[in-house]
Amino acid sequence: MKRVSAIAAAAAVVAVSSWAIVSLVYRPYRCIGETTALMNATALMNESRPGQRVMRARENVIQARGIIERCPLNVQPYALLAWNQYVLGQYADAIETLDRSLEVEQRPELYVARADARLALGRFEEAIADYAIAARFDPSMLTGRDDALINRVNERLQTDRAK
Amino acid sequence: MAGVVVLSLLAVPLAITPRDFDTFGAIKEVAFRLEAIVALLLLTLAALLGGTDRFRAMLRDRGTVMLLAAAVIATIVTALFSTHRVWTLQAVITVIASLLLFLLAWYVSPVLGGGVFVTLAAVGALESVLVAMQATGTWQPFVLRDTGIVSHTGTLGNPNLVGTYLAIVAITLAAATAPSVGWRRWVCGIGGLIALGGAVASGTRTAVLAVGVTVVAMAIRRSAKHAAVAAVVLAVLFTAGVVARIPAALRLVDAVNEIRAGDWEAATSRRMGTFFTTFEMFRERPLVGLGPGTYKYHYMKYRARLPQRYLSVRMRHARTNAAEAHNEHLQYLAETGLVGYAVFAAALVYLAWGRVTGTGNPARIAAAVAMPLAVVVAVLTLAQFPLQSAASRHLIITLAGLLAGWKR
Repeated sequence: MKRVSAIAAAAAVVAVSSWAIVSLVYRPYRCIGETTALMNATALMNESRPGQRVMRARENVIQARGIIERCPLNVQPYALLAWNQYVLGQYADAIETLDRSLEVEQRPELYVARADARLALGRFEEAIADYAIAARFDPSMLTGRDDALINRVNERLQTDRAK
Repeated sequence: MAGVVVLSLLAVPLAITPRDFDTFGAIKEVAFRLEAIVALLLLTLAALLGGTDRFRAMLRDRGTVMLLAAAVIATIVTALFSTHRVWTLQAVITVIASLLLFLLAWYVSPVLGGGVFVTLAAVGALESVLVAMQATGTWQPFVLRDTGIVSHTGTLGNPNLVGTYLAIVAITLAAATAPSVGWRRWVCGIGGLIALGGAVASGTRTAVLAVGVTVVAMAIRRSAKHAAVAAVVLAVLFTAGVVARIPAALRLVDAVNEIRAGDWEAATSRRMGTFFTTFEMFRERPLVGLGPGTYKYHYMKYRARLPQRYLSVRMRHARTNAAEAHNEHLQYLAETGLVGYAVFAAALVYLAWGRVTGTGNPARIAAAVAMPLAVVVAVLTLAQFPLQSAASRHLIITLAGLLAGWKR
């Protein structure tokens, strides 16, 4: 009886360890390599000619979706997916991706990316709200934007402060 | 089992994935978890095949057992009240892995004498030589996206991590020198000096300061005369460092000047905002905190709405989201509240002043190393994050496990 319970305990620990090796060691390890590959593929897409750019962005979107499914806590694939969707003109999808990324991690650059996508869809007030969140954290996030937009964001920040 | 502990002291800090975007950090976390799983398997096999005598002996150390139980309870309580369950789950996995690694080191400590410091000296020397070569521009094996100070990566990722790790290695080896015997004493002494050189080469002023404070604390423990001698030697070394224009020494001088000018932001390497933000997190949930592992998720929100009263300090804007507070004391308060922080503080106090009941050489080593290790960790955690980084966390946990076994 003692031997049976010992064997059962050993089997249970081996099963738990096998599960842990796959989900806590192998998957995170794979995520590092897959995210690197996606970063390289996105960089390649950025440098491509217009025709190739669209084709590569489509491939990247498929690749990124797979990575996000396997590595849901890694924020980079979300940002890369959103950028590829933006390049393809899939602004609504990019916003949805960035909404999900902000549930994982709050980063100013994610708010700026979502603001850009909202702006592209003509959702001006929502875009300003996102720019303002990023600018409240770091004003240099708006560097390179046109003056009218920066003025509008500053107005929004002042209104928020007054509240 | 002892081989796994020794091997991991080499493998965790040296694990890198040079072709990936995260060359240093993620793979060490993976190695940390892998060793924990191996520890689970080995401890189970040991209980099933080797009998329970060793476990019974471990259970007799009531202080350590109570501390571990407190850590488990604090983790459960703070996790239950967490504001972000997904990130907290990751932190809980790290706590479980840390517990398993501590138990493995504790279990094997009777068969693993002071010889383990030879491995530590080897890792410290490798890391020191690499960071010194990077700092002097002699050799840079990694292709890095950024330049400048970030190039002093060692195999750990950035100068702060290298300096923190090597400060712990230097103090541990220095403290183990006197009770070690024969050639091992030389290895500890020389290894400690090399690691200190590496910490200085990293340019991390907190590391240099932590070593200085710990050396004085070690001297005070012996006598007032030793303390005076240590203070004079440190002052001479510091002056020599300034004259020789060693970056770590110059940065300490800069910090003093910046504090005198009231520029705390510069003196703390732009971390005042991070400290205030972390304190605000603690103020909001002082008892149980925001939840283990949730700091990175909440940081931006709290930083953006930092109250106006803090802006009187010459504080610059954050440029990026922060995953660490650069002050473990504050970060524990923010993430786990007073409940979690009490356990962290108790662990440091117990490590420093826990009673050594053994009489052999391992007990002498434990008596010599425990207090300096606790002091260096306590000082480092004021401005760095040794428990957030897998390599230094692994080192601290392994050493604490070994010391728990050696002291009886």
